[in-house]
Amino acid sequence: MINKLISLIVLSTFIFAHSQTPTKYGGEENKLDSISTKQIKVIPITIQNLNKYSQSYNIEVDGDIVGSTNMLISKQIQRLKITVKIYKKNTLENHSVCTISIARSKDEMFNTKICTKVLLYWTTEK
Amino acid sequence: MNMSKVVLRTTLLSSILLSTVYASKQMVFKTEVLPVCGIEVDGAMGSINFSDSISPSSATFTVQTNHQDGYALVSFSGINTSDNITNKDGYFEVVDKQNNKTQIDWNNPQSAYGYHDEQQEVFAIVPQESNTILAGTASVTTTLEVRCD
Repeated sequence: MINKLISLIVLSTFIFAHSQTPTKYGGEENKLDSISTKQIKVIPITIQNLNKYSQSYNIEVDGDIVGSTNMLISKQIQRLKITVKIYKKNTLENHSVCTISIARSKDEMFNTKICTKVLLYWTTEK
Repeated sequence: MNMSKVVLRTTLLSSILLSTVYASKQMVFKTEVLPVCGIEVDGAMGSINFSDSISPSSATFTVQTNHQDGYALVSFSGINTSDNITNKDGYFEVVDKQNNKTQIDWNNPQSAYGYHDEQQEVFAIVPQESNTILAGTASVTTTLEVRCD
């Protein structure tokens, strides 16, 4: 009887896919991108829905969900400007900006999450 | 004297012309190619593999990255299991093309490498016989996080 236990990893026939760029913003290679004269820095990222169906994504900054995208149709590319808060002056800080696919049903086993590593420096020098 | 002047002028003129022609041929095409990070997950209907499972079932994922190393780090976060398989030592097993296996413990998940454009299999395993599990749907959900930096 328990042998008849059908333990589905409730995966449907969906394919989950998305991409995000850049993978890194600022840092040694792009020092100018890191520098901000304000406590707030706007980070441009681009995501693409690689699924064959529409999908929306949560936007996560430093571990907190701060919003979500509109529904992106298949192959649609969306450019986003994400606001990141810098905490300390004159200190190089690590932040992360991530997008997470929003499950279309509770039965989906996988969500996908892609992050951009963000290095920011809030300078007070003029 | 005159002859040598003519030769000198001709040589100078030719040099200037040649250098101009050469300079005009220097063209630079430059585009900054941004690093891209992507992941595809598929696998249709999978099932949890118990120790008495006859035919193991898997899902698959494929990482897309143009990073020079050709691989990305794939983490399994937010793992949620149904009550009947919670605390049953369950884990994901990631198998790459070379048949290398990485075990991802559901209680203490580590990361696995994902290689560009290479499909990798994921098995969900509960190392116990199914008759020790409470009847009902057994399920596990997770977030596949990919890092390409």
